[in-house]
Amino acid sequence: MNGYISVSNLEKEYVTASREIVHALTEINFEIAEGEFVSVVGPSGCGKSTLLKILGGLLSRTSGTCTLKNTPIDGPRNDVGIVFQDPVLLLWRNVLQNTMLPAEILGLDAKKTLPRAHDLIRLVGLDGFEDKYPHELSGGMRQRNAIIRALIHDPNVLLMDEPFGALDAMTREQMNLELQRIWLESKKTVFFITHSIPEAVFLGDRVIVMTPRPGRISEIITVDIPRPRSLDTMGDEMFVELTQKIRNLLYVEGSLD
Amino acid sequence: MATTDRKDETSTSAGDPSLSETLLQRPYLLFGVSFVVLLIVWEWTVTYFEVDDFIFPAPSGVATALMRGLFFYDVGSGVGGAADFMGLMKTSFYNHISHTLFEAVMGFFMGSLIGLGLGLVFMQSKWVEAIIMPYVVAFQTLPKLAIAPLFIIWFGYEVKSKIFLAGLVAFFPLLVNTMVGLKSAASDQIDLMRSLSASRWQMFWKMQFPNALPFIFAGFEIAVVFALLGAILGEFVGAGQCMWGGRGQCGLGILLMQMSFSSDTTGTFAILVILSCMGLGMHQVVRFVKKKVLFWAPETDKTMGA
Repeated sequence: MNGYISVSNLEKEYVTASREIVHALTEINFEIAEGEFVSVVGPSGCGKSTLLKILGGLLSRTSGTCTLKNTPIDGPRNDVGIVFQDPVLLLWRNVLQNTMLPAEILGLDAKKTLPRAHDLIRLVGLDGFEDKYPHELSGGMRQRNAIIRALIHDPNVLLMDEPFGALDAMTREQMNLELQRIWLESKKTVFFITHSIPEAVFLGDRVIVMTPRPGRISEIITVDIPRPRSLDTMGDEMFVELTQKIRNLLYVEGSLD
Repeated sequence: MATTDRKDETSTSAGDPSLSETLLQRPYLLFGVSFVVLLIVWEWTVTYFEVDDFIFPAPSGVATALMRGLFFYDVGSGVGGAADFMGLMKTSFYNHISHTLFEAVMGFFMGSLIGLGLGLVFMQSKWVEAIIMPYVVAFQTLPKLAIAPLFIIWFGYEVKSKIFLAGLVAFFPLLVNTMVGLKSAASDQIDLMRSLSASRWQMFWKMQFPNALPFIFAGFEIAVVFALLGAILGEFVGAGQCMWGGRGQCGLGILLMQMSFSSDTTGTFAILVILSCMGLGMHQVVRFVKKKVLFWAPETDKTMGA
């Protein structure tokens, strides 16, 4: 157990409102190295969001172990930033105030974090929009705001739950490029959930393929494509081969019905 | 202002808009035109069919009664041999208006702030909510008219009982809307705050409470109209002495009763006009504040209404 993030024999069951026991996750084992970008792909209901919430300390686990930097994850912690599927911006706060929210809650020194907030706003091209409110921003801008909010307190780990799922295809490709750039600059450890196989391969150093009922890992695939990757990469033979392989895995498991 | 802006926009983009388009883009103009048409039809119908003022007064008569009351301190229409047997008619309209307005506004602030406060408290503890809510709901289902005489007994004929009654009816919309609003936080928002280990206090002030504000303001909009209703109701049951000059009893509610006793339908209509203006005015003030506070929630206009 020497991974930066280490998950072994993780099981998660929960009881629904109608008192049925749902086996959400079973036999989950993987390790993530420091600074690694790991994508998770799988159909709806394969438990990938549940897995992310367990890693973020928002859900408890039924059994097994989950560690980050060799300490068990037993609740939310400051060295983790989460980006949700919806931007979840607070509507009464402007871009700068939303970015600063974690700093405020964690009680960080504003003098130190404010310059960092401005740097991050520049990094994602939101400069000039600092005092705009969420209803004045486009979907892509909102999600960028959500990403830098997750980075403001400089966490080591970034957990992303289908952050680009609600964006149109073109904005999504741009956000993929941008996320790669941010990751190359900041060298965070990223756990990135997606529905899109190409997105998972494009961004990930490795791709965890999950299948549902109960949610389990079908295979972990290493993506040996050099960085920085560009949109042309998606035409490469290796890229096509990997996406095809993942697609086959998902179809063989009969989960894409 | 806004209407002129919009007009400029269309004339540049659409070129030559038809009359119906122009009217639809200017709802105030449309309302104005329809209102004038309504008045003309009303006036003509009443005159043509020689309807008695006692049954249904003409708008010109109502306007005259209104003017007399507002400018000549003579609140009876003087039509139909209206008798002034409560001694109210020589009191200025303004005395009556100020009393009712005072009661309604004080009641609104008192009732809605208590409703808001209790809503906040109830949501802090499931226990408090579970124990107190049944009483609140039971009390709410009581017709307020039935409680009004009790309030006169407890708080007297003077302005206090009217304020409390107005407060009582303004209380519930705020209580209910605050509670619903505080429950409206999305699970993602809660997860976001939890992931940052936010304290309960931070969770509340930075997320839950601002989230509830659109609901709370929808409550204010209802409460302000209810408060006026409560004040009038209280005056129906028993009005107090004039506080700021004027002889006898004061309040638009008691004035309405007086008009009704003396079969002064025209005067009654004049007071209804005043009451609806007061209601609209108070409602507009709340909407104005709401727009200032909730600038970040542009969709509330559509979802909440009034």
